[in-house]
Amino acid sequence: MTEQLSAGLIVSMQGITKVYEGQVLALEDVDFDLRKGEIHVLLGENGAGKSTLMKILAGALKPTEGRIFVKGREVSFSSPRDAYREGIGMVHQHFTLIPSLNVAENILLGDEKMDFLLHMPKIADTVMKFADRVNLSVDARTPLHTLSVGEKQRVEILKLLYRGADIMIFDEPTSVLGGLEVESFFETLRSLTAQGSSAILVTHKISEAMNIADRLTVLRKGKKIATLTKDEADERKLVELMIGPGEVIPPPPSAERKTGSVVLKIRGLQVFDDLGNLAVRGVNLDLFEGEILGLAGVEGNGQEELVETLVGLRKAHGGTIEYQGARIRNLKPRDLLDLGWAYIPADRLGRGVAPELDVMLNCCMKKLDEVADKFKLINQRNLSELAKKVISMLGVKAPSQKAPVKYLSGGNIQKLIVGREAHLNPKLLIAEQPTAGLDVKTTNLTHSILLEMRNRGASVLLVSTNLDEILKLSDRIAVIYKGEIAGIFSPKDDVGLIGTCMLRGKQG
Amino acid sequence: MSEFIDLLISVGIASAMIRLMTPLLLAGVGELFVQKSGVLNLGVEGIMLFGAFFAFIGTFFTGNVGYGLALAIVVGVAINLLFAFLTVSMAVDQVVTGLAINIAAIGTTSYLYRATFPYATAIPAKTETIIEVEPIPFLSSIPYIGPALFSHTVFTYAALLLVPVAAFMISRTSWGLRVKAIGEDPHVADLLGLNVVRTRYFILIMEGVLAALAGSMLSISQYNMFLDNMTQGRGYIVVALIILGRWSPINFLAGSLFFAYIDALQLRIQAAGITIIPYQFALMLPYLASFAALALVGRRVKGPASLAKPYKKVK
Repeated sequence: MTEQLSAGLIVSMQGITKVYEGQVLALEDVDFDLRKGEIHVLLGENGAGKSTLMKILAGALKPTEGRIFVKGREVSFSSPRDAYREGIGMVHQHFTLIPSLNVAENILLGDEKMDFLLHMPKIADTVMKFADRVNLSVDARTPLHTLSVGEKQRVEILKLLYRGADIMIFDEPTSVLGGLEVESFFETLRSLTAQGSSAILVTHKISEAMNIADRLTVLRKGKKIATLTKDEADERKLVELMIGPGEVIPPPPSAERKTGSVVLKIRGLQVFDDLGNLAVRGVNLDLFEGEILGLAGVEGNGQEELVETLVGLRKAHGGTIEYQGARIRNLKPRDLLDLGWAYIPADRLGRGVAPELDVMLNCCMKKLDEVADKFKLINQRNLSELAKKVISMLGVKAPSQKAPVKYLSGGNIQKLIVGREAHLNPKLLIAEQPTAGLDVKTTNLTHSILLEMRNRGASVLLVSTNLDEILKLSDRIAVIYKGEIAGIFSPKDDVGLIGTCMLRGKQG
Repeated sequence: MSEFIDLLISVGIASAMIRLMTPLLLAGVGELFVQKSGVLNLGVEGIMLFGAFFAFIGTFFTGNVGYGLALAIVVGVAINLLFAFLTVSMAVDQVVTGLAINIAAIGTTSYLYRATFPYATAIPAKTETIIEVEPIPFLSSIPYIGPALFSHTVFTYAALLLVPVAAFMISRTSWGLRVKAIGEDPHVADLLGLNVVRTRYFILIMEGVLAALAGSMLSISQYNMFLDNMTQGRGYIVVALIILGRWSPINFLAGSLFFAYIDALQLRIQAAGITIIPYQFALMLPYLASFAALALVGRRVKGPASLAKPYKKVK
């Protein structure tokens, strides 16, 4: 094993195979290694097995077959704790933080050797000094649920460092971050590796991978396809490696918009957030027939509350909403479904699906009338047929139609939701972060679906923190800032102008 | 008028209140930790009832309360190990399992009682000894306060001490921090390397001991006999008081004082032979009072985020 060390390998995974619950093959004979001080990007589509491979390295999952060497010694982890002892820590896509505790308590939880008696003021002090030393300043006494996503991620990184981790794994770290936060995260990452830590970054975003990687490994359908250095790689080549030959779907064609009449008219809308602060402060907005209206904005500027009010999940405090001339404020989601609305929520597991129910029911739950027989009982054959149609829209990969949806990967759950909502043939669609966490292929497919809807006359309100996506799809762009519409733009307008509006609100 | 005041406030009622509060505190501290770790064990009622029964049986046949208590604890721990196996290891629904334990407890103890004492339906069987009251020297001779507060069994003193200890454990120790994390999000706790299963088993075993002791207080401390369903829903009251107290041991103590006071009061009303109020109404009082308090305060409470949610680790 000394040859590994001399080659600078700090981690070496050999012949890793993982079979879930004895049937689903997630990884097949995968090799992976990490050099000291490098950033190694693990690239792949949804369901390629990236997260599974990293969970195995972090001790959260056990491999079915294969050997793992860390710092020259063979290891076998039966829990994340074992991995931590070897200096391996993972920042999961869903943060491992406890919202009701404060920052110091959360950081402490990662430390296995904490004293039995806790003197919190002193601990908070120690944590803050440590944070300053590694250039990740935080206020240790802040309750965690008040932090932004970017700050939470810093707490995660701090937690790993505090625990003494020198091998850090990041699972889709940028999927939840805004543009500026991504840059600052990458800076942090570079400074950490410069100080001797090694990092693995799991992603499906090729441009980011090219930006940050020293080396890249591509996985496809549970198999390792290639490992390249940054110099050997370019974006085209990576796309081919990720998707496989002949499967590349071209970006969706853009058609000219047919201008229609105003379908949805919002006037002076006011909505409170959970804490009783006015989050939406008098929004005026029109949505036309046959257009995609992009709602851009930095997270936390009221878009969440606005959408919740539109889809009937939150009560409006003031103002009016009219749909095709009729007042619809404070209608229930069910009424909106009858009006021909569809909704792709950002919170997939909480709002998009019923995680415990099977794939089939989740596919059909908005069309139960259609699968019912004359006695209003659900007909299993109709159910299965409709489910097949929904599944095939974006190619959901599921172990079976009867599997509970919670066992699907995040990307596949999103495919199911997009497919289900598209299959409703809605007159109006509210899509919140519709492609977050999706790979290139599925993102393109989702975009085509949205454009197709628009082309046949439906109205789409696209809410996304990803400005690129908004620019690419929207006919008009509304920027929301501090609960108000700060400007309406055309996608041909200067990006800088839109960005400034997002960050600083109305100009002049 | 002075009679009425004497009914409401007196050394006797204060002493009775502390005595009646003891089982609530013992079971409550156990259940509070269990809930903090994200498990809702309604079976605490059943364990108390099993505890009351087996403490009685052990004491009756050996003449020694020590053996009675030991038997109660063994049974209490065994029942909670079964609960832990079903809910923690097998991720069975916690409410259903807890209720099953309670129903089983009523049936099993009533049956075993009749099987052991066929003659006892007319005259209840009685133990010769009960847990002795141990007045604390000096303190117990303080007028008024002494007899009310310092003339109880060791278990009462222990129960009263347990409350600040529990509060300290939760807010000032790393163990408490871990328990909170497990109760908020077991999945995250698992990824952090905390041992969810072991922690929950440990806490449930502790609760088994405490709830069995709580039940024993009813049969071999407050009385010297066993009666069918003698816990009368005190386990459920404990659960209600925990929610009412927002999972804080100190608040729980306050709630228990309140319940125990009403309970002592209804005993006094019965004993005083006040006939304007039917005694069944007096019996109902403590439960009604808890219900009202819960309805008033209960709407705003937010407990451990993962309370009562089955958790199963993906292998």
